[in-house]
Amino acid sequence: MKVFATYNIKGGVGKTATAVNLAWLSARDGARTLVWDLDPQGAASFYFRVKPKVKGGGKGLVRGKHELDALIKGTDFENLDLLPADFSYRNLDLLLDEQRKPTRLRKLLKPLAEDYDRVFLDCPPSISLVSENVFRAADVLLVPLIPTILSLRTLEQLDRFVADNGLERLGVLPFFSMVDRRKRLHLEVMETLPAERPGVLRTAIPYASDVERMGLQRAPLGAWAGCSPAAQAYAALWSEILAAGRN
Amino acid sequence: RRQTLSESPRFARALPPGPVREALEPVTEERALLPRAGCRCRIVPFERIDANGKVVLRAALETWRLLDDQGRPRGRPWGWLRLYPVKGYRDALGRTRAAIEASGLFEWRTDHPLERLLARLGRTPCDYSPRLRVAFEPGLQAGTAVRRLLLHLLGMLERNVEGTCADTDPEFLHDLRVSVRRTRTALGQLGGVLPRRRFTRFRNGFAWLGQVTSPTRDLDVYLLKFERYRDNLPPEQRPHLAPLRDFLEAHQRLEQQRLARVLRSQRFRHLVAGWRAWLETGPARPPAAARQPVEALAAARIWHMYKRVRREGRAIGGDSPAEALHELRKSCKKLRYLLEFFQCLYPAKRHRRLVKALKGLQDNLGDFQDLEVQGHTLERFAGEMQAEGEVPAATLEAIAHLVENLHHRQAQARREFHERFSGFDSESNRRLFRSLFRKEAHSPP
Repeated sequence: MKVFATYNIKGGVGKTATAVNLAWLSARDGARTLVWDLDPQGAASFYFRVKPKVKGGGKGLVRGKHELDALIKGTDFENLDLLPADFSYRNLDLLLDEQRKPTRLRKLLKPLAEDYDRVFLDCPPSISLVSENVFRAADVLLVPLIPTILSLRTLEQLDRFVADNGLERLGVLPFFSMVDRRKRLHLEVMETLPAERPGVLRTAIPYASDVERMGLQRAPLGAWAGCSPAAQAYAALWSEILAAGRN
Repeated sequence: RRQTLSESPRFARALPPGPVREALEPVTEERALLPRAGCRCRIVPFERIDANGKVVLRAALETWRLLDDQGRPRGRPWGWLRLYPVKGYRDALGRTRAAIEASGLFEWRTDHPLERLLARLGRTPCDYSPRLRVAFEPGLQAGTAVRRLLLHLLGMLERNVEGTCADTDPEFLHDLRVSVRRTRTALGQLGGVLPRRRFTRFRNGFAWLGQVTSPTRDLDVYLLKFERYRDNLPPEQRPHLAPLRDFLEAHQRLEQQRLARVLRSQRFRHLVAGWRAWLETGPARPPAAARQPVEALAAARIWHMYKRVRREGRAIGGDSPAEALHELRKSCKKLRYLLEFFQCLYPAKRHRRLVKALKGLQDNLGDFQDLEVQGHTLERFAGEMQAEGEVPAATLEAIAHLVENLHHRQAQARREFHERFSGFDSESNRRLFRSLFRKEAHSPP
């Protein structure tokens, strides 16, 4: 079981859209895939039309009262399941703090290894105990970046955190998201960053109204606009991530 | 998981990779896939959707129809509503189920429509097994019991004739030969309870059947083992074995056609029909031995054969000739068949233990003889290949290497014999044989 997490300290950069669309692509290729919506806003759950409610809330979950498997919902797509969000996840930090160890999420995921080939963790923004748990649970961190100066700073912060906390085994894969090719700054950042910081993926996700329309359609792009440029970009990104994993 | 197939191949191993092959290959092994019936199914899918537009239950209304040989629908169609729950939405399943139950239109079933279709054709899954399944009620007259056993064996023989003639897969001939061998053992060991009239005629008939089915089976075995043979050679020698395979395949075809002619011949048909008639009409004047209870016959024959196995086995020393082991092998086979014939008369657990012990010995003796026969046969094949035309020297060399391997393994089997026989002849097994089959153990003093 391979665990991917879509993560950025900053919000509104396309984390949920990335998790939902990549998970859909993974499931379409036949891999048994689970999305875990860790964001109390419940955007991923909304996209899959699943109520953002978990029996026992974050407390029951963290304390291991309910088997994770019993909380999972099948989506409308074959091979693709969802562990919904819950509003109580806003306190997840405090709950995880009770456990003292930043490996709680990893432990919770362990029993699912037989049922799923891939898990996508859709994380809330910020750098916190939740994110640290995510870093310990994930194999790959997918980091969407809007090509702006502020975004670059958050990537530096993340890189430093990874280095300071002995997380070298974690694969960090940044890629550009919500790219507007009409903006000079976007193009400049996209040119300079890969030269300064190796490991940035080549595929960039364009800013597209189709991604925004996912909120109306309440389904991954591939299910209703598979030929759109944004859907194609996610497909290219997914191939690149799989290729990076093979090397 | 789903897999779409454009055609159905003869064997599961020829299917394209995917879930169908994964499911079928390990259970069908050497058995062919045969069309049993045609059917057509029309599926109308449904979804139950909640207030958010989320699918919470899937269902399919299926209409099944049996087809005749020309692909035309026959008989009445039948409907099947199948529910596919969505993970995490048990309530929706429960509510839908309750509503369907309340409608009274459907009855709940857990089997598959295909099982019902098979039932209409008078079949149930796994209704054929080469294992013996004859039951004798206690106190049954031995003559009646043996006739019942022989009728069961005849049924198995008849069921395998068509597949053998058509060369559908090698298991048909194998099972046919097993029922011939069992029949011959029964005639030899239990014949005393059968009427004398025409007895010899049938015994000769089955000996003939054993003989005429041998050449094809031998070649089948070589073809089945071919890959294992080849893989035991050094890699550079393997390609040179191809002419041997061509030879085996060509001769298997010839022998198989010859066998099919035999099985369609009047001689064979008369033998089988006459045998059935003889078994089904009870004898006018059965021999006195036929009236003893089946338990007495079983115990006496098994005990007798067990003593022979023990005697022959104990007489075998380090320098005994191969023939001694061959004789022991034959006795073991008879003992095994006798144990299997009367299995239902004995406690299952203890019976199984003895069969297992015997099987360990039989495997060793079987290896010893098979390896010797295989070695000789391969040498003969090499000679025949040369008589038929030019054979590359490398091929002859590869065959010689194979024969050497076989001799080597045979010598190993010979070395293991004593250990295996002592395992069979252990104190606890001896006690078990005595308690189950010795006469004094049955009748009070």
